[in-house]
Amino acid sequence: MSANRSTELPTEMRTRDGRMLPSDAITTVLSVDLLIQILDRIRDPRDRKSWRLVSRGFLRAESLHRRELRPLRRETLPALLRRYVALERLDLSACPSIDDACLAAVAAAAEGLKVVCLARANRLGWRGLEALVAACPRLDTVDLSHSVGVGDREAAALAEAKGLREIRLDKCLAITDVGLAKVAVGCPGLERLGIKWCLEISDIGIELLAKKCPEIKFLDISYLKVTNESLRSISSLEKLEDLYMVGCSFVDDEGLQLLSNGSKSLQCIDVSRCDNVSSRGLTSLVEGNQCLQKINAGDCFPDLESSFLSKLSCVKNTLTVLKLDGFQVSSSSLRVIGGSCKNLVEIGLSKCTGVTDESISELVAICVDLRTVDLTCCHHLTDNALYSIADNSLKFLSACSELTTLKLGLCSDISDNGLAHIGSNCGELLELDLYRCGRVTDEGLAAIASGCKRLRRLNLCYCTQITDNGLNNLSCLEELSDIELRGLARITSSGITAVAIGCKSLVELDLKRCYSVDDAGLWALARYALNLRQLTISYCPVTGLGLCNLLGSLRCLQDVKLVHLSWVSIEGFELALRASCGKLKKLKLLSGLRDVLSSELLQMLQTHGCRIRWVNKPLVFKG
Amino acid sequence: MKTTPKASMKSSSSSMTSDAARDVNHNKTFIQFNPSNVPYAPRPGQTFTDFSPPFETESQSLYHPDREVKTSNQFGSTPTMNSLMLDWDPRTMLSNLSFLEQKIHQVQDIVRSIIDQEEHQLPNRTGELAVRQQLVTADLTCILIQLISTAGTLLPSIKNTLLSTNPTVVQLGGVLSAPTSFVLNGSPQHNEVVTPDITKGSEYAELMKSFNTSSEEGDELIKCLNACDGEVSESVPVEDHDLKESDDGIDGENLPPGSYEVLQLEKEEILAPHTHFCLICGKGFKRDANLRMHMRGHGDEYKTPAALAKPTKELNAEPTLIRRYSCPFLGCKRNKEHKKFQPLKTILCVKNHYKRSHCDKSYICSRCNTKKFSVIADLKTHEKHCGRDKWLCSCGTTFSRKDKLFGHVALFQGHTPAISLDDSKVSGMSEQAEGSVVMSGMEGIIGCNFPGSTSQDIKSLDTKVADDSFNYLSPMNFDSCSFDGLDEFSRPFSFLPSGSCNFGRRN
Repeated sequence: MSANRSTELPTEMRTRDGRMLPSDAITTVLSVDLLIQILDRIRDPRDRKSWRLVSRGFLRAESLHRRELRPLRRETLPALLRRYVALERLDLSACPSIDDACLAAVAAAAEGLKVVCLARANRLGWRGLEALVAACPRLDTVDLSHSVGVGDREAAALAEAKGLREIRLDKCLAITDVGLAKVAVGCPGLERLGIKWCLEISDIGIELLAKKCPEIKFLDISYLKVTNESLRSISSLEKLEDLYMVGCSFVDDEGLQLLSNGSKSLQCIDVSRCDNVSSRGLTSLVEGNQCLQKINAGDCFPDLESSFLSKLSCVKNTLTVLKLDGFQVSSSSLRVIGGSCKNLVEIGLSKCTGVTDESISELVAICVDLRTVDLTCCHHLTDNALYSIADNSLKFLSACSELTTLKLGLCSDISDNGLAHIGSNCGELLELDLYRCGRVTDEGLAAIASGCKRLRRLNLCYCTQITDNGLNNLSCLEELSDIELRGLARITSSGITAVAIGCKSLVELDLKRCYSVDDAGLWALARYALNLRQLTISYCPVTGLGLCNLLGSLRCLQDVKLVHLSWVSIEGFELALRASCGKLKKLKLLSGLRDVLSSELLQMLQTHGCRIRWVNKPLVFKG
Repeated sequence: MKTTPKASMKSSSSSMTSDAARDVNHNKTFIQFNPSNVPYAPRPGQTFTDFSPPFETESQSLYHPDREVKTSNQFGSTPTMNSLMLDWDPRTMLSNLSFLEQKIHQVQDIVRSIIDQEEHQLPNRTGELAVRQQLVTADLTCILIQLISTAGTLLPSIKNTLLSTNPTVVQLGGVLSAPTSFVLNGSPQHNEVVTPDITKGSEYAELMKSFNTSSEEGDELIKCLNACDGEVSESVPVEDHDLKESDDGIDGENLPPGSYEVLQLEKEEILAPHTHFCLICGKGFKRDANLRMHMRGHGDEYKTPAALAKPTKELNAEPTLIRRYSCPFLGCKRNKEHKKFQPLKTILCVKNHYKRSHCDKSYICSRCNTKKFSVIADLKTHEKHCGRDKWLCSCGTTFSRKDKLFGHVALFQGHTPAISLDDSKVSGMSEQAEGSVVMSGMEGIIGCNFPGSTSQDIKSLDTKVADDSFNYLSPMNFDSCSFDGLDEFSRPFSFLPSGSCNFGRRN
């Protein structure tokens, strides 16, 4: 892709020279068909952007070729839909204020839609969905997760689309068994369904689903109040591959046994946080499903019995992901895991007491494919207990050059030396979590910033030694999208400015308790961080002016946390929130403001689909 | 099973009415069968002897005409072996007792001989010992049965004589049944003893044989008990409250035929509102406890602890045979004549079954005016749920429970649970009106943002937008259009007072 980009750049220059008439032979000679064939090979969005800038012909070809779109603002939506006529996948989750009328208009404009993501569309109702279903006969996938307004009626409207194969309804709290039944009856070809957090759904609904939709491959029933009966019904789904049942505390070992009796197709199971599941259930699960690839058993029960570990050899050829968060993993058991599962790509060992440098080194030596290692430790463990995971581990880990995710939260012995190993060896790292790694300083950050150019997510919360210099180092990471900088009292607005200018992809920023960041930082964010979508500036010494500027300028900002801004006056809040109207989806405010802010403003926020979370907590200074 | 009885039902009901008519005729002598409409006027002149013959014939002929011959035969052969008499007669009683005495002596002799043998330590006699032990048990059983049947003949005669107010027997009855209240329907404890029988006398011999041979002991007993329908009067120890269907007494019970005795009450008894009557004033009660309370008003003699006490269980020595009930309705599966007879467990079950299955449903739910019940408790149960939690299927069928609805939906292709429209916040007309405004409002946006559009795809929208002037007034337009203009001017921030709906319009 990068090669592509380099070839395009001169073309772009040339078009800028001859803006009105692209006289260059290549751009005029190439037919649209050929251009589209070339476009098939260009996938990186930044390459695409360069391509669009070449000429009108290139732009037209790109708009004809484009199949997916993720608009960030509603205002541009009509123009985008007009330009991209062949859209198949539309992601409106980042677009605020999507309501029925908007969705109806979108559906009318883009009839070829197959995949629509409407996550967090708070104002969406059944009318919009009805219009969508009526206008887009090829609809295949709809994501309605976290849409507050979605209930049975909306599910019924959705179920009119007979051809739907994937539906996500996570946290649509108003959906009951009736809504699920509507979907189950209406979409018999359903293959993937997520009903996580739909707390009203019970065994009865699941039973009907299993009877009506035999094609289901993916099912997420996490946090539902379902019992073993549901698992009995689910075990009749012969094509089921992925089953997520996080936090189903009414399910126990017998339920897992039922699963082992039934489906042989199961590849991925997540039973984390199922309190009543024990080693016995897991053992039967592994015995009954020989093709398991992913097991997540985190936070179920503390004791890892040897019976389970020995049974892991049943799935030794297929297992790639194993998460054992919260278990007591001794060196010997880790050795058994490493010995039986050589193909592991991801391992989760957070909150596992007993993990030491030696065991990690052994594991890494055997499982050479490891890409993701989670070693985050539990906060109730003392620092002394964590001494074992230190730089040596990182030295071993850095042998995994393909590592993409590394979570080292609370491993307080991690220091710059360890990070230097990572920075020099793990160039593919995408996510790094250094939560409360107090010994990390600007130098370590510099090592990471110079080595891991593709880093996207970085957590530096409470690494209190970091200063503006560290942030200056970070500013060379263009792909960095999520940065958490909580409680870094030493960083100031100048560091934030450097990040805002340098990290062009910045989407999420957490500045909670950064006591030295003031209005100047906000001005920089307002000016440069145009893609910023989520921002926490609670406890920061900012004023109303900075806040108004920020909320008025950033057009993609959707989620803001504004707790304990003692320097902002009531008028400041009022004006700033008015300026943000129509953009915000989520807002966190002190509950004291509820009575002080004008009701007109609050109503306006609400009609624009903004949910306000009122918190009531005392102002405590944490240094 | 349910279709065939129709014809027979008619005939039997006609016969029943005729029987009832006869009952009325026999009222003087046959009061017990018709407690509901009996004027409890004691008839002092009536003697026992003219009471009993119609009693038997009536009871036998009422529903079992086929047995009549048999019973009369048996009646004829009564004074054969055990001289078990039907009615209270001191002489037969005496002969019964002497028979018992004889029997006891016999057993005593055998036991003594066994003891003697043991004392002499005679060898090689073990086989004989076993035979003797068998003999002893057989004899003891015989004595036991004899005793019961003697008492059995005694008890109904008490009742009958009570009716005829024979002073001597009243006293006797008072001895047997604890309080001196008018025990028309003796307490359940009594009922266990009350196995009065005309046929028992003759059947007894067979019974003895069957005992001795120890084969199918119960069968004959059941047969004879079957024959004695009607005599056993009912008692309702506790008033029925919420009786569920399972009260009918089939569920889970699978007694082999013959392992229980079957009793059958008459229709009139089943439907009687009161089953306990005051001997003095004739007032009826549902519970005997209530009657005892009532009796206190008739004098101090009824206030004694003994009179107020609950009649205690007597004759515990009786081998408790499981008792089951038969419905008097011919052709009913609960009728003992039915091929696949399924007995009812308790008298309460009999009452509820009879009312539910063979009576008019006269209680109508006042709320829905459609559901009818013959048992008032059923009505009350229904009224608790009537109108609430209606689970509706798309086909129009309603269910009281969600799982039933989902079972239905699972069974039929294309059926779905209906969403009750009460849940939707906005109703009918206003909803539609709002919707249309919303739609046109949004189309307006597209149009007003791109008035000079050349795209073929959204042409239809543009044409619609041509007449979008009303959008200024539509309430939703504010939401839709408010920020149109902001993109153009790169302001640091802007405040939008409500009502700036046409802020962003450019043309």
